[in-house]
Amino acid sequence: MNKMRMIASAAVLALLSGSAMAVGPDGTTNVVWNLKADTGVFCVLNTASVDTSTSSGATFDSVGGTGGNINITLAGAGNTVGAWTADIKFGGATAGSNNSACNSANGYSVTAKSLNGGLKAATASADASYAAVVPYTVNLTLGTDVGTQKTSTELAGAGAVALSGTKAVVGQFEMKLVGAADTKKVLLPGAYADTLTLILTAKGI
Amino acid sequence: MSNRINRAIGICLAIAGAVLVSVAPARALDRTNLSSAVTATGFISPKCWLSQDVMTGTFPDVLNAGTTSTLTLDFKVFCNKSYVATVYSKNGALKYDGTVATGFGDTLPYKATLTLPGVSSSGCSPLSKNSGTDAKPKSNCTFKVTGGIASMTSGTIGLTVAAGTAALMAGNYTDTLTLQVTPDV
Repeated sequence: MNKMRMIASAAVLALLSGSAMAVGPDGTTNVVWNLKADTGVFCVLNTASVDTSTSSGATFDSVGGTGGNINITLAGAGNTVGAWTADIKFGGATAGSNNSACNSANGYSVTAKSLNGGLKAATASADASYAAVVPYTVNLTLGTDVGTQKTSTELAGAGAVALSGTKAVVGQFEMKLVGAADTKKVLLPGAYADTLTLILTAKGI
Repeated sequence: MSNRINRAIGICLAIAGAVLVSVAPARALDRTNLSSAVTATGFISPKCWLSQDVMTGTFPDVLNAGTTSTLTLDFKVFCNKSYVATVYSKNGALKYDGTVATGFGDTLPYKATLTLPGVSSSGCSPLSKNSGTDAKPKSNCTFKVTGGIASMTSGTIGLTVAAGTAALMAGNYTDTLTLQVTPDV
């Protein structure tokens, strides 16, 4: 009696197939997913590495990503306005090394605002030989982007953009405040103070 | 599912029987002993089927350096014998879909964990590209599956993006993930 060997795979497929998946001749099949992850737009200061070693006439208290206190030795010769430098660097100096960053391909901006337009005396005097407000300059850099120098006077009120970039950047963020000596201005008794606010904004994509 | 197979086998036998009768060789008719022995052999070739509910997967968390996120993909598989399941990534990681600025990371590697009966997977980390061919893929996420055979089985692929160290570009990081199943021959 002859034996008939029938390949019945076609009949089986007709009974069992549900999903319209292509099946190879060896019975192989696959499915594919398109994956996506969204990353947010941000600017971040690397507060794990803060360097103030190039400052003079200034000490620092709790300086971090949300702010801190800068204590300035303001008195110079004859109790006139003395020079000082507060230089704060966040993050490493080379890209990819423990850095600060703004990650938008469209760039970012940093707005600086001075509350008093300079270091303001707690007491007042009508005598112009006394310094009622001691101005200072602000220089900001992020990576290879260098901002335009601003004075505390320019930054009073609504403030101004002190640094901007047209692309994403990662690197060291530096804030350098410099007070120049003025031997014609005598300091009033009491404290001189200001609040400088920096707002880093990555541009939307 | 077994009824379908039984019906399939029944169809094979019926076809084989019909052919045998039609080609029976001519012989002298024995009127005292009429019998006919029919032997039919049906062969079901190895086959696998896969289905997926969705064709896209988006990690639910907004990512940047230091954050993690997990995504689970569901699928159903039917194979009529043991098989090899391979999961692989097109890029070997999620990859930024634009131009990366200096100092930023352009890839986000992720771990894949395949869950199927009998598969003991501690996770393929990071999930690799296909180092084989399209017909016979190979990756660090290839498993022999002997459980759940000849029944529709649900499985999952769990994906986890680990916290990275490099700053990430704002925007989308994308990849294409493939699950291929090949029955044993």
